[in-house]
Amino acid sequence: MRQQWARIITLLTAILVILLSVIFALQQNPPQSSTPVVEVEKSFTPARALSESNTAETTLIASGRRIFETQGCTRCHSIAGKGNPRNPLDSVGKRRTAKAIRQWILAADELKAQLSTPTFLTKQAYRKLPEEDMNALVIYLQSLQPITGNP
Amino acid sequence: MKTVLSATFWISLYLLLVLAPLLILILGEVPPGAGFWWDFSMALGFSGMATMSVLFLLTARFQRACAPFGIDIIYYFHRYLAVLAVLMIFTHYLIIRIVNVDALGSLNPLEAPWHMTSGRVALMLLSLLIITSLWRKPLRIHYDQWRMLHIALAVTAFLLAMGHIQGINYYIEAPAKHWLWSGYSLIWVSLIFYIRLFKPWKMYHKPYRVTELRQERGDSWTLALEPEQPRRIAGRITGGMTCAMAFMPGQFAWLVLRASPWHVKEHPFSISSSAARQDRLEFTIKELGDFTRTVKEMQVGERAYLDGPYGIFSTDLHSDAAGFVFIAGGVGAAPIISMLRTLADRHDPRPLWFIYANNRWQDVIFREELELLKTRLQLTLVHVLTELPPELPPEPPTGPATGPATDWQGESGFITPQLLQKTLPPDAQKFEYFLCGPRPMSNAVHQGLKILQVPLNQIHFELFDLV
Repeated sequence: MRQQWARIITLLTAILVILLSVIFALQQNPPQSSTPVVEVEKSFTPARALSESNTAETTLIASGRRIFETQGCTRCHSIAGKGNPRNPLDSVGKRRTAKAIRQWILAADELKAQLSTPTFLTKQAYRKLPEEDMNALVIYLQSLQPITGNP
Repeated sequence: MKTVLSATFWISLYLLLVLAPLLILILGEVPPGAGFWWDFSMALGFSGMATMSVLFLLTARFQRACAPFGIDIIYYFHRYLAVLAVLMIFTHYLIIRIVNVDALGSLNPLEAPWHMTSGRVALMLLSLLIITSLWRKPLRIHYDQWRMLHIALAVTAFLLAMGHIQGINYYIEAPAKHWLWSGYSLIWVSLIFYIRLFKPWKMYHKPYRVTELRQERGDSWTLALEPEQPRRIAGRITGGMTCAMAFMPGQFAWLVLRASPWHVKEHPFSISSSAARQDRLEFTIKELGDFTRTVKEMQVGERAYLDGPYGIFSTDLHSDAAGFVFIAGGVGAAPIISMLRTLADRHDPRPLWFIYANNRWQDVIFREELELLKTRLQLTLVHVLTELPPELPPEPPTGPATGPATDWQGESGFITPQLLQKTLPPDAQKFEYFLCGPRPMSNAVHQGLKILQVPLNQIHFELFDLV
């Protein structure tokens, strides 16, 4: 009898937790107004690299992407739905200048107020990145343009 | 009615504690959505942690909060809820693992940020915690060692998981959330302080002395304890006499022998003495394990510590009952004899039945005293023996109440539904039933009482053997 009650309360807890978690997730991500996945995928295409036949730049973009992957950027950032969706970098090349991108990667002191302390501290590690890797990474991120923004 | 209200209050408080993080997430301001599964996973993770905080609260043995339910069921609930909490936390991880494995980063602790590693280690410790608790006996882990391990694993896993949350710092930035999580951590730190330091300190300042050690039948020993400094407690139950501990007959207490209260070595035992004589407490303990075997080595004058009383297995909680039926097996008679002694001391005129199962006649604990109680109470005593020797040995002349004559009047075999039907009167539905024995017996009795149409809420039992 009392054992039964313990089971019922546990089950009730499970149901309430799942229900409220679903409500929260739906409230955060209303089904109709969610960003169309198609556009995100398109923006992933380094469109500029395709349109310009600059092979040197294509190589740089490729090595920048590799650096992005090996440095574990996906832990906090996503591109085309790959990685942490909290801080998407899709179309970042349109939103930010090369200088700004560099400042955000390195957590420049003037951005300190905009970053949480753990984030600020984590980003300090990228100050040790070799200059050529840094360049490649910035060029890769700059290449992330919405497809519609290109001729 | 009062019990129902109080139970409702504690269940609501419990639900509020478990659901608070989710309610604050839903009602408060949060960063924009990150996909359904991502946010669902985060919500599960937070709820798992809130549930874990409640798990600590459940083992604090708060007498007031346990009273409406019975502390044995609180420990049962702790077990069910622990499995649920760990499932929530593992689902939190698995969803991210499936939906967005890139966000997890490197597994290598040298490369991964500390808060991801601490989350991973917490997951491993939690699995270990569940395995060692659900399968303690097959894994042959000693009870005392298991308790230390359990506390160490739980505390470490919880702290690591808290570090994981702090390190990621997602939803906890907003002030309300910051306060909420600080609140949970605070509850938790004060609980450790209360359970591990303050409560033992209270026990330490109320020491008891062993005043008698008596051998009983069936490898059992009765240990009598009296407070070192007799206290006079005025009150309804005690009536102003010196009091070892104000308890209801049938309740139990955690007993510490030959160790300090800080040593996490207390074991629960039923009080077997009469609640009408509260100047001393008796515990009747059968030699079954490592701890119970040491009871007989206790010397008169040695110190002991107690935490109690606990439990709702008591005739005093059903004082308006028409009569009581007690059903026990072996040393399960300890809380029953406490109730019978108390009823006799109070000259209770109500009809009573005691169906008492044992293996062998010579091992029937309290055998002689039960015969005496028959003269003081309206008691129908039915012995049930599994081993009935064809020729009963002549008992030494210690009185008329010893061994059965060759014309054995009791029952043989196990307690069956048929036996209950035969023993109990036709109006069996109006009595309160107290059941204390091994699981097969308990199941058979439940089945029998169902046939006799006894309502479930009139059947009371204590769940021992929790881990």
